Amino acid sequence: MKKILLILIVLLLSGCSNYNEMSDLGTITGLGIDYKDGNFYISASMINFKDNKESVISLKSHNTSINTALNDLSLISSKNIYLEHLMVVVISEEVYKNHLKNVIDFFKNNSSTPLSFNVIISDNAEKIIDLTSPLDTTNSTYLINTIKLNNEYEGFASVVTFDELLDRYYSEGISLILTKVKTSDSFKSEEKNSSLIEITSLATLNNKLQINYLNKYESIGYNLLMNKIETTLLKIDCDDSYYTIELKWNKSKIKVKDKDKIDINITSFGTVNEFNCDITDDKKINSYVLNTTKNKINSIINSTINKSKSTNTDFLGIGKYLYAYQYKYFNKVNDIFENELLKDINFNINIDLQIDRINNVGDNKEGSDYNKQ
Amino acid sequence: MITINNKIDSNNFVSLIFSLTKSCFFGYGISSILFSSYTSSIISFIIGFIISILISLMFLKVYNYSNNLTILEKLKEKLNPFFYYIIFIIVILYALFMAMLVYYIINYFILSQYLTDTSFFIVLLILVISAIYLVFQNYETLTRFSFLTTFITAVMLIINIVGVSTHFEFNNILPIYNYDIKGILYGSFIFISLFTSPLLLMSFIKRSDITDKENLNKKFIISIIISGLTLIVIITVILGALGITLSTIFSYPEYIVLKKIKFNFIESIENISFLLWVYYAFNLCSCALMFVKYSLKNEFKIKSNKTLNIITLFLMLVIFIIPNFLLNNNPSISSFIYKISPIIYFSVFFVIIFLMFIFSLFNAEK
Repeated sequence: MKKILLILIVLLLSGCSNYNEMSDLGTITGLGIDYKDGNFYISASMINFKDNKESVISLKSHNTSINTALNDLSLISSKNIYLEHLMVVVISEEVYKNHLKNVIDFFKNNSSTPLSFNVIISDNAEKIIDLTSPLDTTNSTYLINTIKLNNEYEGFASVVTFDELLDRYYSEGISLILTKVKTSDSFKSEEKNSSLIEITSLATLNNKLQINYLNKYESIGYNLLMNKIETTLLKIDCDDSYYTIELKWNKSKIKVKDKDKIDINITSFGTVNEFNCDITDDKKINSYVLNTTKNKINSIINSTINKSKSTNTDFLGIGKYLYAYQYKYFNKVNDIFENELLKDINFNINIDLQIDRINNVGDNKEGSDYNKQ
Repeated sequence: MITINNKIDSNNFVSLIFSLTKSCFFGYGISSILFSSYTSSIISFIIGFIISILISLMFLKVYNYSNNLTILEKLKEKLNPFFYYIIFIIVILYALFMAMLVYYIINYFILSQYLTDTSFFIVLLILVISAIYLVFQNYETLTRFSFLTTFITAVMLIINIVGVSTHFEFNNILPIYNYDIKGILYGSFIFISLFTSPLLLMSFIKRSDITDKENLNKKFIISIIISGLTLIVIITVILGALGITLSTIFSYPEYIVLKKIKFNFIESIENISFLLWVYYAFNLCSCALMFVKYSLKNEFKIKSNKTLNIITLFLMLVIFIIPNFLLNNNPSISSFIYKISPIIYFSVFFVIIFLMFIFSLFNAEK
């Protein structure tokens, strides 16, 4: 009896009961979702394993629900739609504004999709998914890399994964924010659909379903405050010239002091890359760079906060901080917080900036104090 | 051939505690506590844990008092036959119900989360055949298996906690106290019920069958404390990594949080690291069935191994297969059963332990 049981276990553990051939799977890496005339228009980047060469084909379908539209893709391609390797979902502004719930419901309840895919928006999702990058085999990889590299080097784009979007969508005291992309106008190619993308801005959505766009510096400010920035490069004007400083190891802490008082502490480390200002004294340069950079960061953060206040959009999640630290108060004002109380919050910004040695600065042959040491 | 002279080590015996006390939390316990207490779930866990220690000490006293008899045999001595047989039937049903529910939850999870295209019979068969194989052995095998899995699950748990803790955000666990006392207390009750009730299933092993009894009390208490603290760490890490919103919108936050673990190129680790919950469930089911098997054997003096195995096999098939038909098609029934399960578990467990505790006190005074 025991031997029979053991044999049965071994047979069952072989895992061959419901196997799928790779060639039967329609592995989708990118999805575009548009909405027109009561229909969801789905564009999908599907990996094509034909002839053992990896390439991507673009498929389209439309239907009244996302699920049925995806099923239609399955019928067109004669493959089982496989979303386990989904990397990016591009949604149109219309979907972002009015049909985000459908998108969230579909992916939340679909156990085979990962939670870590990126979500971005565009005027035309289909166009973004259809483009073929001249530099990458799969456009999904190209899209992701572009956003990640931008975030890493410029700090302008923001990587928003689906679980983060989900958290923002269902949580109280925080609004939605996504990176917006478009096809680049500067790149020309004779190949059909061959194009590059450009990151245009971060798009926020408030509870009145209004989309607002953050400019470059507001976006950097957002990323700084949310600890989503690795490095950023600031160009700071001085008289008729300028200097550039690279900020790295940025860290911000948001502390709730009172119901209407928030402290923001930012620590950063700056390296001056170019210095063309008319100052030669080492000590003066250091204090000048320190002060002007601090002022610049301060103005960036302030512009981000002002954007949040003026658009009545709590994309910084100040309500969420109040929920954590002033729970009783926030529960009372939750319904009116974003529209009425957010603009009355006072922010106190403290910046702790350290400047690395300043190389090859003007006529200074001896180098900075740091070098002398 | 089953021998009643099985001797086991106290380490093997207490290793069962690690699995039994945690197994009911998967799929139901953690999510329902999060749902009732929200960010105050940590307080619920702590209150529940403190009370659970006291109840576990009560159980230990009762267990020591029974010494060379099982708790049921000791009850038989003390109660009149009519009441005893009522309690006996209730306890057998309680063990079967607990095994049924824990297996159903694990089976349902596997089918809904990663083997969505597989027939539930295939999944069920793998689990059931392994359980049958184990239950056909004696309880020494069960405790040895449990001892082994304690180390495997401990390693998995450490990897999981370390992997998830990189996503931990302190703000996510705030406010620790959300002023909803009713919710917090209900969460504590669920904790106490799910944490302590399965201990009754260990009671079919007589104290006299443990070789190094002198260390038993100390090891028992240490195991309870470690197991409870582990659960507090688990809930804190889940809340800290996912936040209360994500923790409450998913049915299996303890699985979803594992999706956050990424070690460089290794992805989808959650499908392996989740196995620790399968081990816990497997240990509880095997222990519950072993409990039923030995209780029937002792009660009806069944000497034939074959008869005993056939009865156990029949009971196992009933509890594993029936719920898949009954609960799968009736979401309202399954959610009702989920909701009342902590009440059923705790009431049966507490009545028996309390009765025995009174007897033990009365006896001590004499």
